[in-house]
Amino acid sequence: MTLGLGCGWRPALAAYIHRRPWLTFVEVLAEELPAAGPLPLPLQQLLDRGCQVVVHGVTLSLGSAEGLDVRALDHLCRVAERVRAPLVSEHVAFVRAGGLESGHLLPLPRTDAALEVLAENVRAAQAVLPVPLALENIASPLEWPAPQYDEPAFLSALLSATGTRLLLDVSNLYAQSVNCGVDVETWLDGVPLENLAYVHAAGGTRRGGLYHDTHAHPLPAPVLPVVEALRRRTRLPGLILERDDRFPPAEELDAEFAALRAAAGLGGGEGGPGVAA
Amino acid sequence: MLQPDSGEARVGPASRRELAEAQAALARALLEGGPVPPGFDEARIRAVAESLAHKRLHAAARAWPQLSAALGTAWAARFAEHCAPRPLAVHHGPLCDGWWLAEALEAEGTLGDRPAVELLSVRLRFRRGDGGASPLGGWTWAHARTPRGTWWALRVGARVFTARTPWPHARPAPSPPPRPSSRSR
Repeated sequence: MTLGLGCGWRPALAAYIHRRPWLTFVEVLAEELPAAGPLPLPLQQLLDRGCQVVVHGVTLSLGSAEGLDVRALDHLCRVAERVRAPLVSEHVAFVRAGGLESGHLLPLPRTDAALEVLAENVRAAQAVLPVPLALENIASPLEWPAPQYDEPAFLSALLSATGTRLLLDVSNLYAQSVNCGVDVETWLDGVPLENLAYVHAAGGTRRGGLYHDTHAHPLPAPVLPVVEALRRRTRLPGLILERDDRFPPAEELDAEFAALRAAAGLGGGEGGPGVAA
Repeated sequence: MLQPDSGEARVGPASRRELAEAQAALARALLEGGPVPPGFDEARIRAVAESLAHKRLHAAARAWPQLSAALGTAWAARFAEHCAPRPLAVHHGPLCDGWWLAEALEAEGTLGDRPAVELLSVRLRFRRGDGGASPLGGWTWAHARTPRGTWWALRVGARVFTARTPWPHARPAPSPPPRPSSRSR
């Protein structure tokens, strides 16, 4: 499946995306779309013109030992059906525990117990999801004590146990390299790139000695070599640039797309950034 | 909560419970200022707790643009007073955060017109329950109080009818604008 170059669809970016036919797919946040009633008009127009729409969830909490949340899963299924998504994606993380909602993706211990909880929750989700599921590596400066696996081994075991595909976030990988000393090349050698579904990239900033994957700052230059390192190993089926806040002028986003397209080797498309219009 | 079929369950209940407790302890450390769980870096727990709090504040401001704009520089302090001591329960989010704050302002009589209309719009479209805010269908009515009067609204499907009492023209204007064509002149 080829997705090409895409953008995280946000209401504030709807006009930007609409005017860029070289964006061949978009990714919507499941939690931001209604399960019934009309879809946002600009999104409906993209669907009508044949743009592929992938659904991305952030609140399923697949790593929760308390069990999968039926409500979030049901919503994810409905939205996937509504936009005729070729696949849906979620995170290797938990977002709630002990009656508290964190509002963010929290890391899991890389242990057999967590792996089995994840695999069980993923299988339960797959049993009702209408399309294949891809799982994303997260960024977190927190490290659980006494890991039994490194992250690539943990992801590989999870993907192979569940038959899920990989959504590789290069910015999260970059964050892990800055904050936790992860070696990018070793990491990429350790994950099953033959299962790569698509790739995420986003901006971030350094604050208080840590790199924060904010999705609200420009794409940092050191993320591009991560994309290139990935490209040396495999063909990228698709790449999404995520921007959630502090939306920049169109030219700045165009330049980020051009840089990503070149680094990822995503040629083709009609017109577009970095290609003679 | 969906539990896996017994046929597929491989995680023993004990290790599942143990992991659930460890996740809850980490959540309490990050969201309630609970003790740092053994083996975690204390400085990093603090850094992540701060960034979660910042994200929560920012998400509420985005969900309540009129309320946060009306409070301006006081937004963060008022949020810290009314929302921060109250960690978000499962499925609660930025809509609930701003809702609490807007209601606190309504009760103390300092809710401006624009935030009042925003509160009205949320009350018309959502219901609050144990699972946070859930969308309302059909028809609803709601009101929101400001120091200058009460905003009323009726929603039928997607259509909304709004009015304010006392009627604006019935209020004595605090400082009547100059009217060049006025007969009093």
